[in-house]
Amino acid sequence: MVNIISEVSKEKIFDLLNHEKRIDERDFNQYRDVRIRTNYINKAEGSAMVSLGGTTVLAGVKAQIGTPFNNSPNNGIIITNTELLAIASRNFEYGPPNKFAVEISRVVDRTIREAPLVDLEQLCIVEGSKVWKLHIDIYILDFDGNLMDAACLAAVSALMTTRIPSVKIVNDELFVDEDHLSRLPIKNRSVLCTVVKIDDQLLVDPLFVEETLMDASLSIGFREDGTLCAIQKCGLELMSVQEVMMCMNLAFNTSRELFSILDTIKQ
Amino acid sequence: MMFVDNKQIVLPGHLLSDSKLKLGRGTFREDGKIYSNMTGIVYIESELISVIPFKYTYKPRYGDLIIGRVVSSSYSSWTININSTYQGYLSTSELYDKNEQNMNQIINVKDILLLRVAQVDEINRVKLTIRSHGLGKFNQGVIVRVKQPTVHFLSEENAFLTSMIQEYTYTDMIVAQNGLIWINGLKENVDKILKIIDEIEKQPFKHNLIKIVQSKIINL
Amino acid sequence: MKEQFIRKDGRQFNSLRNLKMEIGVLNNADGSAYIECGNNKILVGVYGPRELYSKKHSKPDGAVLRCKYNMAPFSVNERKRPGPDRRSTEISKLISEAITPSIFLEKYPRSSIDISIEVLEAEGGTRCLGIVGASLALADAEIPMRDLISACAVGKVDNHIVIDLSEEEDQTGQADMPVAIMPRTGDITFLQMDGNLSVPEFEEALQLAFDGCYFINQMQQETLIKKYGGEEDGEYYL
Repeated sequence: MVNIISEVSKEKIFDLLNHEKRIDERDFNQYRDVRIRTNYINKAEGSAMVSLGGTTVLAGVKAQIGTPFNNSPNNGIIITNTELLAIASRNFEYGPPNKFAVEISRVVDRTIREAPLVDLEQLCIVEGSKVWKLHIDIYILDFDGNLMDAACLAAVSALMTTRIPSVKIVNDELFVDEDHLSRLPIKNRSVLCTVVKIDDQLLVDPLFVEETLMDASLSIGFREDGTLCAIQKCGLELMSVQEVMMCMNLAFNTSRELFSILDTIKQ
Repeated sequence: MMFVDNKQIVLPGHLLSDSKLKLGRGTFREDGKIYSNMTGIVYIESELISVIPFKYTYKPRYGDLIIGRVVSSSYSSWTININSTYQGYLSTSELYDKNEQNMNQIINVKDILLLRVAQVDEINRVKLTIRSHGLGKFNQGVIVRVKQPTVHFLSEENAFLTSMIQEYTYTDMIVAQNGLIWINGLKENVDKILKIIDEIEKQPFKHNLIKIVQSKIINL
Repeated sequence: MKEQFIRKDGRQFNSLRNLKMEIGVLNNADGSAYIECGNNKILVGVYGPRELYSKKHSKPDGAVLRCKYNMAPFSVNERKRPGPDRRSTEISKLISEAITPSIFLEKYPRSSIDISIEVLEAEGGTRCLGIVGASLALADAEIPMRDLISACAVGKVDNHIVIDLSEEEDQTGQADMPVAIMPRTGDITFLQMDGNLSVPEFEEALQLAFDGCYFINQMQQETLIKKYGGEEDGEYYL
């Protein structure tokens, strides 16, 4: 049941863009309504359901004790994984993560790691042998564009509300105290903002139909102090330096809004 | 005996009747009794009992007037997306003996056509025809997608409303069975019609909806 | 004597956990349902019927029902590796067999109906809730059906037959028996049992399961009616 009017709406979008309008009557720099529900999954150490208009993303954090990587023996580990569920869109298929899912995982991972959102050194329990390993699983439940921003927002909100058990070491033995939970050492929050270029116009927070028509998109990760922590350009078309700087400006303003939304989360 | 009233909501498996009625869409017979097979509104018309679904579900039936978009073409036929589970096929031979003036309407991919269902076979291959009065290609106008109850309201129950709308707003309007409505006219008039359609979409089974719509049309 | 048995979470032998159903929760799916039962959270999406173009997978005499049961990595205490495993493969097959009798597959030859059951949080009894959700989502997708399928689990805990086992009861209990029925005719479409039950106990358990299924069926119907604004104007009713 493919939508027969998709071709018709394509012309309409281009027509509206020339009149500085979008199909859902937003301004070019206007974000959709963001709703965040934290602690949604009780079995996860941290979780958040983020909905961005018609896009819904659920992120869950599971904490396990594992061994650190050889090149960073005193750092905790964060692993990000994204699943594009078959329920989210008729174009998504069941199976191992495809290139889009992997890209989302990696961009979100970089935004969190490079900020750094979590002080990884404090997640070390015994240097070289025991560290906290945080699995962030990002579940795309419903899809209407701008997965990158929504996934990042969900991952950050989930980490901000994650509580891990306290651990004691007595005589080289590990005691996990499930009753005393503590927050993660949050250092520096970060958000991702995506700007798309359609027909030489720049728009934030694209809808799915806008993404299908886009020439290129730029996802920019910001720390709270306004510095950059990750950039990813997608899409097949070119972008001039000027356009990149304009994107940067648009995304920076949007990131301020997103940080103020993150402020409302009770930790 | 009837176990339901006209315009009552029913669910899958709801007992409708044990009389010898004709089965319309959305119904099935088991052990001599008639049940509903989907969520919808019962619609009884003399000897025919059917259940109108709430959403877009459209199943092609012989003789339906439909709007479709050409998605691909081959030597012998065009494949047409008809807003249903199945795609429709329009044979190229359909065009041969059309009038001279229509020959310039050579069909291309992405064209939007007004067609009729010529045949639906047992494995649901939908054969379409363009060889009838008034059928052909759309060159202008807007197309809106509506739910099945709206189609039912505008085309089966109160077909006169369509002509009434056209008369009062000086526009052309075609309600196709597959849930698409084509409107052509001045932009402000089209916008007015879209508002009326929205109204019907919201509550297609509302009591006195026909009077409300009528007064809206007159007061446009 | 039975009435005095109070379970660990304070329930009676015949009381279900808090049950919440919602339909039409997804924007893109043709039909969808969300079910919460205790801490279980299950999301079901249905796509289809859509035409299948590969001759290998399609059937000329009916639609192919493809059902996938999938658990989120964070849905259980110990993180589950994403992707299919033996358990979810088996459950997918069973759920698909449980709901197939209710669907008029023959009305949609050469097509497929895809059901995805996503367990966001699991706390015992997810396969039954999956069936209940799948049936609701199919009804929401307006796929022709003979009836709504209802399911619930019964089991034996401390020598008592109880309904809707929680996770703890599931692990420590003596028996677990999920049942799915077609309420209109009272036929069983899905039956599984593991544990230890005598034949009279089995009969008692089955009776309890039927009671539970009829109750759940009532809720399914109410959910569907509520969604389509049935009570408005007092004009249509069931």
